[in-house]
Amino acid sequence: MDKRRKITQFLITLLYNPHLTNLFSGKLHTGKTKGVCVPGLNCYSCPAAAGSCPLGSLQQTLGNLKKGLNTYVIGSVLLFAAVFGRFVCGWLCPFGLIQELIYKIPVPKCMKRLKYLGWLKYVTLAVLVILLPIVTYIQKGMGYPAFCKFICPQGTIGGLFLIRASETLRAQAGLMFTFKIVILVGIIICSAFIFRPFCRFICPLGAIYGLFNKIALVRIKLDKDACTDCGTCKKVCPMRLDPVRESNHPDCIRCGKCIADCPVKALSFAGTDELRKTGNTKKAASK
Amino acid sequence: MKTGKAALIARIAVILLAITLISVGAYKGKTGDTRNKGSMICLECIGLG
Repeated sequence: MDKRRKITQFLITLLYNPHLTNLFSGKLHTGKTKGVCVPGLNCYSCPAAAGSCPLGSLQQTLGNLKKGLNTYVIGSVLLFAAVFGRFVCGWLCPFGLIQELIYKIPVPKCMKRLKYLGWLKYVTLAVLVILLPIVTYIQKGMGYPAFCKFICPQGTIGGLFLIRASETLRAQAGLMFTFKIVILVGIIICSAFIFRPFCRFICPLGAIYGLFNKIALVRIKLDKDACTDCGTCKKVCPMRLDPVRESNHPDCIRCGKCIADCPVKALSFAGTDELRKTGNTKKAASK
Repeated sequence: MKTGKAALIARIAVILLAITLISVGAYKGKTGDTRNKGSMICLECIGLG
């Protein structure tokens, strides 16, 4: 499961960012695909990006209400949330992949859940993504994407390539750029010790998707009759959740570790055990 | 069972709402707006704004 997920994450990163030569030229892709919101966090200012970031697009529409709400962006985010929930985080987000790769560095790991810090991402969502763009629009006639401006580490990574390629942009780099670099470096360092700290404590897109985890099409199903409460799923969960008591918790990124390691196969992705049973019945019939 | 049914109804409702919003947005040319924004360097996003 983990190998399959890693391959998917790499392919998705490449799918979101196919214009690799732009990383050296510093140009942005301006084709029709830029009108498509990708499900994961992927800054549209990354030179290699083919699509648009849903979070950036959402802030842009809230910061420019005189043009009317961009219902296309809002609908896209809702669709991803209702279909995938935080499966996007576990399988379809490039920055999630970056954090997981950094976590592989052999240093001591923090195994605590740090539950209280999980609320921070909802504060980030409410204040930086929703409130500040609207407030600055009301005050100045044009709101700014506050999360992108102050926090987003993925945008900073894209910015590094742009700044490296352009002397004009390099000349403009000042205190805000330094601040964002500090945020990025901080998250990278934390990622070595804590599994996906950005996803668990800061990401507002994960916060949105997590709210839909319980109703999303892709969700974890527990067979209570098969479950022996051995605690294996809780031990292996990288998000420090208890899948038996908290299946489809807003922090569950559907990595599938609990499913793969359950000794009695009591956990599955909803719908897949029906498919497996159908497959087993066909195999038995063919024998 | 009741929770399962409620979740199913909620999921269908949200998906239908999402599809409606996407359709209305696409009809009003909002995909073009998204493309235009995405095609320009976002100075705030890269720490220069």
